[in-house]
Amino acid sequence: MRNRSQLAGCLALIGSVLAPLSAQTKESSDILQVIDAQVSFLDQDFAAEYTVTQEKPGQGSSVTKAAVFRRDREDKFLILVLEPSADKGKGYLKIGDTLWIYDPVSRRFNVSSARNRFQNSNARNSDFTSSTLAKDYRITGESAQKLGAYATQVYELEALHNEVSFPFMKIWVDENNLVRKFEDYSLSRQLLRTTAIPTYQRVGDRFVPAHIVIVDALQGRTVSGVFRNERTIITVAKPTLNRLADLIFTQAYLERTSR
Amino acid sequence: MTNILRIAWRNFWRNLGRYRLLMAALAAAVMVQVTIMGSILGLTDTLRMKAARYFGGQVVVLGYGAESYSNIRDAGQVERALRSVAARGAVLVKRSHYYEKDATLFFAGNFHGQRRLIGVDWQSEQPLLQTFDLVAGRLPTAGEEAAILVSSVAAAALGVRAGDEVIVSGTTETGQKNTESLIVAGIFNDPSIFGYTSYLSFRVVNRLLGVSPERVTEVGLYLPRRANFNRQARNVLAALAEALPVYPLFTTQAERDRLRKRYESSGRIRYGVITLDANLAEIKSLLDSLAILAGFLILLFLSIVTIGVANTYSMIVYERTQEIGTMRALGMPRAHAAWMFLFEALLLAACGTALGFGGGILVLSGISLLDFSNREALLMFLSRGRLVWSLPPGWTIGIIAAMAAASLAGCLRSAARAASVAPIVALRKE
Repeated sequence: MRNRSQLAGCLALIGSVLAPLSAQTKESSDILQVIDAQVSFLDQDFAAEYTVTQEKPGQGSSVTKAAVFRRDREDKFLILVLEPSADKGKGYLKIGDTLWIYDPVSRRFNVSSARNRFQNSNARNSDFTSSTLAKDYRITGESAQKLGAYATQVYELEALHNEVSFPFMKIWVDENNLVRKFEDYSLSRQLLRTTAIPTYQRVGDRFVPAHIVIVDALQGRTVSGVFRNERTIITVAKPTLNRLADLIFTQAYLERTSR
Repeated sequence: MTNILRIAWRNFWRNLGRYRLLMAALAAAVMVQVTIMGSILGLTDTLRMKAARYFGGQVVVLGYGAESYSNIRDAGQVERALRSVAARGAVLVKRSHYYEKDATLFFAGNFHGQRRLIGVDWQSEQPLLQTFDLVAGRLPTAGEEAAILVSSVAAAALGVRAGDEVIVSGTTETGQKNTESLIVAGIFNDPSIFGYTSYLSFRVVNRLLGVSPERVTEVGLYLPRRANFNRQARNVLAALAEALPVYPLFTTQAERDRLRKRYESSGRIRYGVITLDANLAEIKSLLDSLAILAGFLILLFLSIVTIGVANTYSMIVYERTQEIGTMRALGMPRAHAAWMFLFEALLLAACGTALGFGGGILVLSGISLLDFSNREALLMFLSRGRLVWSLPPGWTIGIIAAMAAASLAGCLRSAARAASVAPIVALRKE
């Protein structure tokens, strides 16, 4: 009888320790889910024209235009490169965890990774998928900070699993639960890149970034005595939530359009 | 016989003017051999030294299971097997490699991709690391975990100097971005394919990969110069086979990959041994072609020497028939008459060879002053863009023996003719 009461006491103690942790995790997941929901299109398709400008200090810039098609509910996207002419017809097709890159010259599909860089820019292929912060990260720290005109909450995130490229992140979230800034860190907590989203555009009841600026923390060059980091500016134009044909998310579509 | 040798020396010395042209031809032939062999052996030695450093020894043990990269799970057993058969003076090399192609060095905004990051134990690999041609800094010592050795190519691309802090970026085995901040301890000169590599502590490589700090991917033996690598490799394989499942000896990298794929479905770690020659099989075929070409050239020169000596001695014996007849009349046996000419031919070969060696070494020294840094295909065979020629004693003796044999072969028929001269014939000639 005495043993039973001791066991109950222990369980109560463990429960009292774990309960706040569980509540904290749930709260963390809830916050991130709200943030994800603002920029995800789980009940609709999404299409837009992305202009990716890669600036290499002292070496000029290169521009890539691409049509992006997303079907978040099925975890699919297709990116069709429109410019420059040398890469026209090149395509990225992601279905689930598999990402293919289509080369119109060799007419071959090669398997790639969402972690790889998009067209040699500072953007990664994963930057074109829906936001999955709640699935991938948990909040480990929180503070309030003024970011330009925005009053933001800064969340420090830690990866929940090893499937993500960046084990640690920091995000600045405004009053509308829109992420205004990301910082991506390596496992040893070295800052690798900073992403700023100064403007969003409203599409239906959701938001789509209008401009994204990605600054590489490690690459850059000193020009005229001033060190400038490499950066990528992404402009999103003509966003639409119209239903897309199923055919778009197929290899056949890429082959046909690049002919 | 000493008298014959003395007479031969006297005749050789007195007829030096007659031999001048032939001696020049012999010297030229030796000079060509010394130049060709010294260059080829020097190129091969430099390549092998760089490759041994890069691959972690001349005999390397690899372990493959389901993963495509080597991983020595039974490091203790493998180490014991290697130690049990290692030749005297061999150095045991334990490494952890970062094989992925995304390893990058960053410094002040510049970056440089690396073919491979080689994780070493600074302490135990000192004999191997001392073969580095350091252009700045020094070799790290035991316990210097934050040290990195970068190549001159990387240093130039990054604008980095010894003592600067660089960031090494890579991906963990599970796919997460990871970085390490390290101090450049030294910069080694190697603009060849072996230079797109950095050397750092194996614990740092393991940390970058997010694996156990003591993980080992390859264990090798860095052997003394005269050791028989192939025999050593067979011994290592036999010692491994006593305790662990093994592959047959890998004879090329392609065969290693083929065997690995054949057994990978079993998922069980199996160990294999690869030699430096197997790692260099593709490059070695180029060197073998060069050696064959050099062999033909040397044979051609030796044939010319033999024919030249034969013609000259044919004339000499004809002109000295009276002298031979007189000596024969004074009691010189036939064999001694033949030996006299053979000794003369040997003296001729000795003088020609000595002159040729001098000339060849001068030519090699001249070539080693030339800078071939802009010849990219040659860089892996060169040190600081220059040839480091080599002519080991074995090859030196070989060239001397070849020249002596060619001279003797050329003189043999004439010596036989001299031996057959009858005194009466010599008197009749007068």
